[in-house]
Amino acid sequence: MVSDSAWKKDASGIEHPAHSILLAFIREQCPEHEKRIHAHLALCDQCGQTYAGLSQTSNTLNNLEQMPRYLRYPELEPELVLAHAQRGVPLRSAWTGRRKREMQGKQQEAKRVGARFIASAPKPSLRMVSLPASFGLLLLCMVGVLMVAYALVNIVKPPLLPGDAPVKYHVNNQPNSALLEGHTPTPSAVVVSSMPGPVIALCSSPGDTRLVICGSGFKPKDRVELVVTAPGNKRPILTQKLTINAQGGFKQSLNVSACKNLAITVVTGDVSHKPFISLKTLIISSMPGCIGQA
Amino acid sequence: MIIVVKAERIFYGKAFLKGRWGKAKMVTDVQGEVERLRAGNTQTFCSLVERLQQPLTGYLHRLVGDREVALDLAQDTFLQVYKEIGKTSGELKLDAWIYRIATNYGLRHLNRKRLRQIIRIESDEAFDDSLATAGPEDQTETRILVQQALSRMNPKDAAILQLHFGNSFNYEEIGHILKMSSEAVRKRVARGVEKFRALYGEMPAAQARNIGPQFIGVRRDGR
Repeated sequence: MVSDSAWKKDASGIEHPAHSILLAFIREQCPEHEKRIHAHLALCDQCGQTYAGLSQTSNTLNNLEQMPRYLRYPELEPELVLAHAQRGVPLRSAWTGRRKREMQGKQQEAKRVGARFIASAPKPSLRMVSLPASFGLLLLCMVGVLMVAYALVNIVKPPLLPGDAPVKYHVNNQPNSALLEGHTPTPSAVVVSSMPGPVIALCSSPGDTRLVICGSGFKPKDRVELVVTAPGNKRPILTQKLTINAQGGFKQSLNVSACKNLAITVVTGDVSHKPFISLKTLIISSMPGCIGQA
Repeated sequence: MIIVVKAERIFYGKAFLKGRWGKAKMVTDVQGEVERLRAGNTQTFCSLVERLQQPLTGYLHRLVGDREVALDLAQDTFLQVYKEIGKTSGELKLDAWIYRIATNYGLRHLNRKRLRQIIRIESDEAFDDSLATAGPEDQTETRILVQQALSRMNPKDAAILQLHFGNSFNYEEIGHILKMSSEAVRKRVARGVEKFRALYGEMPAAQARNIGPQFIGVRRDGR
């Protein structure tokens, strides 16, 4: 019985056997086609060449048949296999598998050499985490890392750069005098620390070209250091050691060449302590009475 | 021919009498054997293991390319046979069924190995040359090249070539093993041979020996 797919017509209408049929013919797997293929090969050079090529590959692959002839595998012990099957132990038993053979090999080697031990005891092989578990673990780790990164970004505020516009705490430079008559002007500064005890504040009066920083609530006759830093400067722009007066306060004036875009931090700290302990921090964003000054 | 057979008998000894090397032929009169196995006859199971262990291990060895893995898979195959034989019904082609279990184990191992290599859990294992080095020395190089080319093929295509060329199963028997029609097996074998030919021809050593896919001479003597 000749199937349609086994023979294919060319442009001139001559039927040629398919490669699979030629190979089956070589492998003696299609007795029904034999005569026809024989007759066709005698006439068709093209199919003859295909046949030769397939024969060569077939001969090469025949080497596969030769391989097991020369190999000897250790005999499986049917009784042991049976016992395992009957006991319902896991199919991949370590004892009947590779480890046992490795152990047996080592024992045989030990007997041959006559040594009690061969090198050291076999190290247990590192077992990898199963694939789904490792994927899950990886996913969990990634989520954790992302959460930590998000939290860090939200907690740590970026430092104030020189080019950045400082936050203006003092918006109105000319307060309504009617409303605030008799009232001490609010310093245009923020005391960061809310701890009780010493206080430092900006006590420049409007129109004052100097920046006056006042301190109170300190211990009388203590030595403190006034550290003035500005964003963009790694080092403090001023460090001044001061002695607290008998009332527990101090007053220090600083010359300011440009009062606009002022962004400085004033820190007072206890000099007697090493390292320097910051007692109070004052952030000054603008100077009262600073109008049109460059 | 008689001398050759004698020599083989002497060389293989007990194993030759027990099992089938290379030329695996389906045992047709096994219905009684199947029934006994289904009934849980341990003696029948033991003789089945003795009869098939060598050719089956050889087939798995060629398929997975690792002797130790092949031994484990052969053992697993027999355990699975014992476990599942009771669940089968009707006329069972025992050897084809056992080879199908072994093929599935082999292909599963190869797929897992490939996956492990893709995600770099496992590096490329060293080529197991025990298959190639056994036998006449003058064909060692060819056997190495054949094994390497097969290892680069699709595992299922390689399995079909192993069954046909390595174990000498005919197309019908392979059809029973892989649950395919003889027609489909014929096409798969031809496709596998074409792929093998291309891969084999790509190998520098094969090219140097001028045994690639290119046409060399015209031989019409078949095998």
